[in-house]
Amino acid sequence: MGDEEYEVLFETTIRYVRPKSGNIDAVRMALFSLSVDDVGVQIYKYLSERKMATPEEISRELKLSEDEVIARLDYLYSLGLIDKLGRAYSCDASLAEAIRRRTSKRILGILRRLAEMLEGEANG
Amino acid sequence: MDKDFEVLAEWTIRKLRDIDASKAKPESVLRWVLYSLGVKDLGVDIFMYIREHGRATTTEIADKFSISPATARRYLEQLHSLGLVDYIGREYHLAREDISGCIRDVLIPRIRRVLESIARIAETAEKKATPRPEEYIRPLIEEFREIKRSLEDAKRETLEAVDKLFRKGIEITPEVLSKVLGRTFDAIGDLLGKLGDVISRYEGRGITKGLVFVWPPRPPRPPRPSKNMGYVKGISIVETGNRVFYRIYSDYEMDPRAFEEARRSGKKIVVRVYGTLKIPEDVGAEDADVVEAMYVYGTLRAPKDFVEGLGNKLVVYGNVEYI
Repeated sequence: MGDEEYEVLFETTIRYVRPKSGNIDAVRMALFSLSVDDVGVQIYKYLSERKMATPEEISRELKLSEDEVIARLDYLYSLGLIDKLGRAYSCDASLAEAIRRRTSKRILGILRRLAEMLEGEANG
Repeated sequence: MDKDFEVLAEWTIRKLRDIDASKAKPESVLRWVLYSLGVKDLGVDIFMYIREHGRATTTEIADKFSISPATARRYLEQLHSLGLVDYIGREYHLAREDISGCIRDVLIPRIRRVLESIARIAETAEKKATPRPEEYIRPLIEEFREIKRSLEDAKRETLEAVDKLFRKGIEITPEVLSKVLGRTFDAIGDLLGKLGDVISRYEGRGITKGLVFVWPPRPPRPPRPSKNMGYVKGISIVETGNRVFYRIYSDYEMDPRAFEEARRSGKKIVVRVYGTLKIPEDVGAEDADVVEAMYVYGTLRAPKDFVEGLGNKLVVYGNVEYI
C-alpha cells in the first residue's frame, strides 16, 4: 500500500528536545519543538513584536520571498500560534497560552478522532 | 537549528482526508490511522507482523523484512514512542490489543505532557520579559517599610521636640510650632522625593503606570451569603496547598483561566455545583487534567471533549448538555 493513497491536509511533528548548551532562546526552542524552522521563528518573532502584519510587509521587512512567508504563516496559523483576519496575521496571545489553548486542542483533537475511527464511532 | 537542540523523541501527526470507515475494511482503517500517526509503509508492515504473531525480536524483524537490525530498531522505537508496542528485553509485543486504547490512554497523555512542557519552555521566555510579582513586590515592600519607619521616626522626633519645649516652659506659639513642624515637613518632603525615586525605578518593569500601581490580580472572594432564606446563592473558593475547592450554590460559568491557573500552580480543582454549571467552549479535554473531581447537582453545559476528558471524575445528578 502506498502513502500516495492518502491526502494529507495538515502535518506536524512534535519534538521532545533538550538544549545542547545552557544558554538557550526559549521561544526558539519551543517553536523548534513544534517543528517551526528558523525562518518560521524569525516570522513569529516579528509578528509577536508588531502584533499584526501582512505577508507582503513581512516579506519586505525580513527580505524573504512571499511564498516562503505564506507557507510559514499557514503552518503557524494551523498550529494555532497566530490568528488571521482578512489579509493580516496577528499574534495577540502569548506563545505558552496559544500552545495550551489552541495547539494542544487541535493536535489532541486529531488523535481523538483517530481513536474514534478505530472504535467505529465515526460511523455515526 | 538541530545543532542547538537534541531531539529525544518525535511524533508526526497528520490530518488526512477522512475515509468512509463504514465501508472500509478494518485493516484499511488501521493503516489509515497508522499513516496519520506518521508510520510509513514498512513501519505499518512491521506493526501488522507483530500484531499477527503476538511478539517479535529486532533480529526477527530485520530478517523478515530484509533490513538491518538498526533500521528495524528505528521502526520499533517509533511504534514504541506512539505507545503501540512495548518490549521486554529484546522482544517486542503489542502494548494493548485495542489500538484506540493505546491512543487514548498512552499517546494522548504523552503528547499532552510534551505540549505542556513546550508551553512551559515558552513561558520561561515570557517570565524573563516580565518579572514575577514576588521578584519586584518583595524589594518594593522593603522600600516602603523603610519609608514608613522614617515617617514614624519623624513623628516621634516632632513629639519629643514639642514635649521638650513644653517641659522647658516655652510657650507653644504658632511660630514655635511652625519651626518644629517645619523640620517634619522637610522630612516628609525628603520622603516624598525618595518615594518618587522608588516609583521611577520600578516604572517600565510592569509594575506602575504613571503613579497608579498595578498589583497582581487577587483571587476572587466569595460573596456574602444572601439573607433571603431558601437556599443560599453564592460561591466559595478555598485554596489549599495542592487543591482549589469550588462550592457553588447558583448557576455558574467557569472562567477558563481557573484551569490555566491551576495547571500553572500544579493544583487540582474540585468542583461541587448546586445549579447549572457552564464550561466555556474553548475549554478542552486538556483542561480536564487539572480537575480532580466535579460534582454537578443540576445541569452541566460543557464541550464534549472536556466531558470526555473528565471520564469518571465527573458525577452529574441531572443532565449533561454538550455545547
